[in-house]
Amino acid sequence: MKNKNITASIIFILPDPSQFGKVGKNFLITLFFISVFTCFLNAQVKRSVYSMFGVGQLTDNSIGINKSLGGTGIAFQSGNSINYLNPASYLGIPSGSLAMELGLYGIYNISQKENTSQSAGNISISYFSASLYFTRWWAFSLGIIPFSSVDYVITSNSSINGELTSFKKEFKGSGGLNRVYFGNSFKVLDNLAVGFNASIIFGPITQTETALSSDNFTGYELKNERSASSFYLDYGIQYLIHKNNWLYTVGFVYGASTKINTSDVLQFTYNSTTDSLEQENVLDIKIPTKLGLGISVNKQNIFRAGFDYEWGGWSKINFSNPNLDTKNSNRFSIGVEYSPNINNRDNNLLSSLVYRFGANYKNSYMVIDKTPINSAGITLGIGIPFERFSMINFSLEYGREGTLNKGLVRNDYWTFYFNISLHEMWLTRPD
Amino acid sequence: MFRKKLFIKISGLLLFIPIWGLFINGCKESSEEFILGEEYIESQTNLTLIDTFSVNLSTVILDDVVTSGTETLLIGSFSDDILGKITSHSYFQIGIPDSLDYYDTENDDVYDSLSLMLLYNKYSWGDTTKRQEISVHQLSEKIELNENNYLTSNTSFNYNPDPIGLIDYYPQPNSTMDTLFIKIDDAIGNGLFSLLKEDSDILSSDENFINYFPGLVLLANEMYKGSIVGFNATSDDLKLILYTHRSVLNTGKINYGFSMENSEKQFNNIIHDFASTQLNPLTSQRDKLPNSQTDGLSFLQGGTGLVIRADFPSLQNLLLLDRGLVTKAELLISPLKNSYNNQTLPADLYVYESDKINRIITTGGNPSVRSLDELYQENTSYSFDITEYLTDELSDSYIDPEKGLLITLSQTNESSSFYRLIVDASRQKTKLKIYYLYY
Repeated sequence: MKNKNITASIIFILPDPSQFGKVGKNFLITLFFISVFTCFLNAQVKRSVYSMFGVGQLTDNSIGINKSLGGTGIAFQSGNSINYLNPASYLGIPSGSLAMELGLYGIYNISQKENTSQSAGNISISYFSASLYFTRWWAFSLGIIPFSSVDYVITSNSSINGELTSFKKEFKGSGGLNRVYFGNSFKVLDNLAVGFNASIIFGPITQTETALSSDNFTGYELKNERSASSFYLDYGIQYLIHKNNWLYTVGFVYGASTKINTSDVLQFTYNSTTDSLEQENVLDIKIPTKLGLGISVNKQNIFRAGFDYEWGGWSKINFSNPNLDTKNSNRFSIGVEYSPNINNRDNNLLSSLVYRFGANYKNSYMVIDKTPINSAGITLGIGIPFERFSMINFSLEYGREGTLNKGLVRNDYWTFYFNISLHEMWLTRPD
Repeated sequence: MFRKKLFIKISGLLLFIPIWGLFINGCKESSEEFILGEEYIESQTNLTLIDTFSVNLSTVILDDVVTSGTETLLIGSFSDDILGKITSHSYFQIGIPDSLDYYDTENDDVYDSLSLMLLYNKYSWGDTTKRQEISVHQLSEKIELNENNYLTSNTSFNYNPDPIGLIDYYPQPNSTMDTLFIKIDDAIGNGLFSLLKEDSDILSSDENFINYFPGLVLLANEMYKGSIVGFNATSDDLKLILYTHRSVLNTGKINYGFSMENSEKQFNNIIHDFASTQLNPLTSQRDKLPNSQTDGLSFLQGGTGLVIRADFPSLQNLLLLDRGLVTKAELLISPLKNSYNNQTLPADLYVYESDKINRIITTGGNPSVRSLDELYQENTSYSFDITEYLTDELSDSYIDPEKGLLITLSQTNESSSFYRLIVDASRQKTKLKIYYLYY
């Protein structure tokens, strides 16, 4: 048994299709997708002006079906889908299986401010994740998921100091940070699991400030290419209580405040001559302390519901931007899943559907002009099971971020998520 | 089996969606200008107009004004309180008539007269309602170009002091009668006629003729202070015409034209006299007359070689500014109000880099852009784009305080006109504008 575990862990480094048959083949296909589409990760926020600060707008951690549950999942087990929200949950994937997930998303965002409105849309790969069930007491997961994204274009009228002439400047930001994580769940007691995710957060952010030629100057570009990296650890606990046919779970997650190292390459191009400059405004930013609590109830996987509360210690984080203040963030979410025929599936696609509903409210960390940029959203989703444990999931979210008060920008967005989770049994005789 | 197909279909979908996503993204990009969020942007670049660097103007006189090869003959004398007296004399060579091949003089041909024909070029400077006197003299030495193959305004050649022609006239540069004839002494006329009759070897080539007859100088009488008038100095329009007739024929007039030869050797000798003016201290190009000594005014004039020098004594302070660059530097100068009329104000000026002793050290000058306030003369100005000069100066982080700029007329106007500009530094318009981009 022990030997097999060691071999299995190697397939992530050196997959050998002949030895692992279907598992390896599907894994290779997925790996291919990943290598092709890694560049499409990020940009979860399309054209949000709020993504100009720091390392961009942070995306919440939820992936997969958690999206359709309003981002709820601290107290959910992983099941047919991987639950990244609590690293203690990976043991929930079907015994002896290798689960792989690939997510896509599309967004249509309408930004408004008083009398102005603009819209933009985008579709891209959102994440990849895999989990492997080793033994009764150990499962692990790894994947790449977005951490933050920067995507804005702002045209601004700028005046020449000392003269009544103006010219147009364009500010653009793109890129964002990704998180490659490696998570482990351990069963400590029969009803207690603990886990951790070790993540490397990295990515490039490009911000440019350009002006087209006018009477008094030729066009120029000031470009900052910021690369950020951080090693981040977060921890989770899940405590399970079985009572009658119900499973009650309490989950707890914690992540310590961690510095994000950034390095900037600042370049100024004027008259086709590019000079490298020293970046004087070096960003000193941290991932704040995170504390999360979740509770859930589950009746034989037919019905489950959960509630999450997460707190982020943002008030200590200074973006060194005079326009942006921070405060501690709060996230509340609820999610409900109903799978009427999960335990006696037939080939009828319609009757085997899984229905999900969720809602969330976020007290954001961003405060502009003494006004918090809060957001709220509702989500609906369905899951279509196929093969034994595999599933295709769709979810739709409508959300609103920011406010029209005080001349601020409000984003109304429709997000569409699609993910496919594939399961292969690699242990023929699960223990 | 069905599920396997489904899986393949989904995989295909996964492949296409991002491509599709890129596509719709591309469509969105160009259509709109995104303005939301302008107020939260922390711009790192900042374009500032700095016009507080002082501009010191002074008047400089060029040692050499090239006046040869301009095809312009300037003759006359002009005087006013501002720039004193200016007199222009003009030198040129005469060649043999072209028509010698067609006519053979016969023994009974009769000499009638000899005249110098001049054609107005419609340029004049000064008061043309006043009388002028021109005397024509024969040169006693040949016109020779200097080592640089040109002749300058301060050049002169020896001539016979006894005039061979003299005219006292009212210039009419703009009348329909566009030619001026000056009667030349018959002794000269008969001399030329006998050469023709003898079929002299002297008339076999221009060179031989010039050895015999080195050329003419037209001298303006300085006593007649009125105007300086321009004539065309081309072989067609400037010539001695020898009038003869053949008595056997009824219509026997035969004229021989001894045209101006080689316009490179035609030049104007322009003499100025600043004695009664503020410009008196200016004697050589090394001299610099700051406008502080001339009531804040600086002077520029064609022919006399008056140019304006601009120095920027505090320009070193540019090096003290924060990180940035000069995107544009513009020098503006403004003429003294009521010192000009719209016709006599030069259309374009040029700026050159200059060293400590006022030598021009760049080959190509930068032209100005003139804006003319025809009605009130308040906002008339010339602007020069001196960005390159400033950028070059800044590029080695050292600004040579002894370098400056010279403002001149265009080369044509400098060598063949008396266009004048009086710059008033006390006017707001005279300044250095530097657009500095901080980043």
